[in-house]
This record gives sequence, structure tokens and C-alpha cells, in this order.
Amino acid sequence: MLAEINVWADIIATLMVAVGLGFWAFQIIGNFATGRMKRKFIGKQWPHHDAIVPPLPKIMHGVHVTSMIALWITGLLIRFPVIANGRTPLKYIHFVAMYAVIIIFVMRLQYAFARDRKEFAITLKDIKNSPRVLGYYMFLGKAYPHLMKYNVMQKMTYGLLFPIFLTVMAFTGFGLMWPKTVLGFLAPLAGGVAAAAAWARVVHYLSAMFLLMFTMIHVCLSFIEDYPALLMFFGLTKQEVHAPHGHTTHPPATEPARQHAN
Amino acid sequence: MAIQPIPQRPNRRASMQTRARFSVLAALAAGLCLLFAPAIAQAAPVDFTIGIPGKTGCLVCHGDPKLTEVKSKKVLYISEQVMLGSVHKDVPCTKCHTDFDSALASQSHQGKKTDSKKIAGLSCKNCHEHAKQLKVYDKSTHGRLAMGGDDKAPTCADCHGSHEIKSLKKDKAYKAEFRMSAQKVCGKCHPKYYESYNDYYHGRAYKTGAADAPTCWDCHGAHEILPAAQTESKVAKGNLAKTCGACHPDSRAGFAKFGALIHGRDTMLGKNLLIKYKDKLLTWFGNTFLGSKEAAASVKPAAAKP
Repeated sequence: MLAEINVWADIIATLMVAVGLGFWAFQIIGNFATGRMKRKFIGKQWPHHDAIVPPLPKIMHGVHVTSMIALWITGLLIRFPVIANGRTPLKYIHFVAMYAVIIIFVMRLQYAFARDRKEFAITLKDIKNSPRVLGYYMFLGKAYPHLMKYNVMQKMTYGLLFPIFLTVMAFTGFGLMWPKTVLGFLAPLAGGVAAAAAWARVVHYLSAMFLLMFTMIHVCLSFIEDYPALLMFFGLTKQEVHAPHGHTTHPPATEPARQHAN
Repeated sequence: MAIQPIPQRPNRRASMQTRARFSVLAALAAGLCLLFAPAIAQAAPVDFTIGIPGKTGCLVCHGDPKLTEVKSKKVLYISEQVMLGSVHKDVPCTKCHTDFDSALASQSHQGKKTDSKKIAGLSCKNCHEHAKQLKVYDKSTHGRLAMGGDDKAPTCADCHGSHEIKSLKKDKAYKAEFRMSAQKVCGKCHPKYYESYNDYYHGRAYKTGAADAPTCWDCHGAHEILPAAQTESKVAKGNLAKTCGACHPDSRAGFAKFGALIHGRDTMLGKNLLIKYKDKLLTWFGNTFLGSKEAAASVKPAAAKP
């Protein structure tokens, strides 16, 4: 059964990447067709931000992005080896990137509990607004509903899916490193530690591909919905902050960004 | 009393003339031999070219890079450099080529062919340190075939090499190199199995040089190799869990089933429903939604019919 599941895992993973690419194509075509692309990229009608993003979240985000890219590339090359004598060095890079992601993840969780966890809470208003949000991204509605920093889809992705999948990936990843210690308790269920590790490998792989698919969607919406914020988040441009009455200012870095991030 | 004739003394001058004539004739004969040497070599019963000077022992002839059997074109050259780099550099040739009789020359040199390759290939048993391996090899499928006279059965030299042989115990670099040579060692006789060794963490990784990926003999065994159908085989159904357990701790029978991918990934991919019908699906999709050329071509002749 595990053997067949492994074959299916590759098909599912390919389909996930196809969904990610399809989403890009759908968004680009839809934005062009509805004139949103022109309004945004030529008319400069980007979402307004009322607070500057401090350097620390930007750095953390940058390290996270770099590490995740390294994890995907090395992970896929470990599963589908093409580089001669590459497995051992790839594993080392994978481990280093993994520790970086875990450290950033723990720091972000700590920050969320200390500062901004409420921004991820899904409220009744979010649920009521969700059809309109979905309609906007599906090009069924013209206007983007006025929301807080994150919409309901973002809250679910950043506040629920990403933490859950990162935890699952860390657990299965450590399980592959130290099968007896980490997966020992699952051995009776799986039929031995070796079988538990084999299952863990499948789960690890599929979780990685699921995260890749969501990240492709995240990058697509960041690019299309708020290109200046994307550049700003990687330190490529200076952030423009709009005061509540509409004037553009550059206030000092005090609070974390309150923006329509994607 | 009969008078004995007085023996005549040979005419010194006439003798000198005879010698001179003979020398001229001999020189002419030698010249003719040199002139027609290639033709003579072709017609001669000797089945190899002539060696070169400056070598000793067997290498007088076998050290010549051009030494080949005339009819079969089989190269009989042995590189002295390769020999010197071998762990057997101090072992005389006849220690392995036991069919070579130094007094009478080998039977092969007399035209009576012996299977010198096989004899040499199995002569490792003559050294006491290889006796243990030979005992195991004798019981293996390779050993049984070789001892049973199968010409194609692999001997020690077929896997370990012959004149270039190096020590797996002493030479770590060679051990690593030998480990990565499964295509040469096993694949030359079992190409289909080597090609199908193509799953993710074992075959594919091995073929890209992953040092921690298993080579053929890690699972199938080396000197003790047996067919999977035999219960004592390392890859027999009942022993799979133990064999896999060498790398995968707490491997059980259920986990061993996962091994179906090791040599069967390509087959399993072929059997997968989605992949099996992928081409049909793509054709249907092209015909239905994209109006592919094939669909257009299949419509036109039909429309042209009266």
C-alpha cells in the first residue's frame, strides 16, 4: 500500500504545483480582463498602509523565505536525485535551513502571542465577509471589502494552515532524522518504526508540496494585489505610509504594519 | 696389401668460396623472410603477434600493446602499469594462470585451448586468505553455476577484476569506488535489474553517487547471493524484513512490502490509473477543448466524403 501511495504522492504533488501555476495564470488573465492590472500597475491604486513595518519582521520574513526556498529545492533534489554525489551536502543544507525556519517559526509564535494574535482571530464579521472576499479574488465582485489587516483567507492560511503544516513538517522531519526517538510511539500503529518513518516521509513530502502550493498563491496575490508592499518587505523600496486623512508621510517605526497584506 | 688412397686435403680456396655463397644465399633467404613476414605470420599456426624486447617474463609478449589474437582480434595485452598498481603486483602470473606450464608453454600456446580466463578467475582459492569467501561462494548461485561448468557464470575475477585487482580491506578509496561500480559488476550480466533499480532513495540516489544509498550486494548479498525464490536468499520473502532492517531499524514484514518500489517504480508508475490514461485524457482534452490538429484532420476526410 505504501508503495502505491508513494506513486500517488508524486501525482498529487505535481497536481498541487499545477494548481499553483494555474492560480497564477487565472489571476493574471482575470486582472488583465477586468482592468484591475491597469488600475494597479499604471494607475498606482495600491492598498494604503497606516504604519511602517519595522526591520525585524522584514529580516525574519527574508530569512524564512530564503530557508523555505532552500528546503524545497534541497528536499525535492533529495527525493528526485539528479546532482552527482549531491545527497549528503543537500541534506546538510536542508538541516541548516530547517533549523532557521523552526527558529523563525518559534519567534513568530512568541510574537503572535505577545503582540498580534488577535489579528489572526477569525471573527463573525470575517465569516460574513468571506463570500465577498472570495468573490473579489474570483473576479465576481468589483470591490474589495474593507477589512482589518488580514482577510479571512489570509487568517486561515497564516494563522492556521501554515503553523499546522510547519509543525507537521518539523515533526515528520525530526522523525526521519531520529525515527526511534520521535516516531517510536507510532510504531505499534504503523507496524514498526521503519514503517512509521516511511509514512512520515510521505506526509513530509505532501506537506511540503501543500505549503509550496499555498506559497505560490501567496506570492501571486502579494505581487498582484500589493506589489509595492512586496518590494518594501524585501527592502527594495521605502515604504509609503498614509495618514488616516490621506496624506502620505514617513512616520517613525513604532508599530508593526497594519496593511492589507497578502 | 692394398694401398690406401691418400685423403686429399680440402682446397682452402674452394671452401672459402662455398662459405661466401652460402652466406649470400642465407642473407637472401633472411631478406625474403623479412619481406614476406606478414604473410608468413598470417599463415603460421601461431595465433598471436610477436612481442617486443625490453620486458621480462610473460610481459615480454603480453607487455606489447599490439598483442592480439590474429583471428579473434582478442587483445592479449596486459598493462605493466596496471599490474604494478594492483594488490597482486608481487604475485607471479602463474599463481593465477595455473594452466600455464612454463616448461612446455601453456596449452593455449600450443593450440590446445583451455579456459584460461575461468581458471585464472577462480584461482583466488589458491591463497589461504580467500578460502572463507570461496566456501560461501561455492554455495551461492554464482558459485554453483561456475563449478557446474557454466561458461557464463561469474568467477571471482568477473566481479573483483583481474590484473587491476586492489585490496578492499586496505584501499579505502578503492572500496568506495568498487561500491559505486554495481553497473559494471552486476549490471553487465543483469542489465534489466540494474535499469529497474530506479526508486527514490535507493536506486536513483545510488546512480547519482550517494554514498549512503545501497548497492546491489547490500540487499542481495555478495558471495552468498541466491535467487529470491530460495528461502535462504537475503531477498527471499521471509528474510526481507531482516535485510531491510540493516538500514531501517525495526523493519517488519509490512514495511518490507514497501520494497516493491525498489525495482518496480517504473512498472508501478505505468500501472497507475492516472498515468495509464494520461495520454488518453490529454488527447480527449485536446480534441474536446482545444480542437487539436488530430481532431481537425479526422473531421476533414469525413466531410470530403460524398
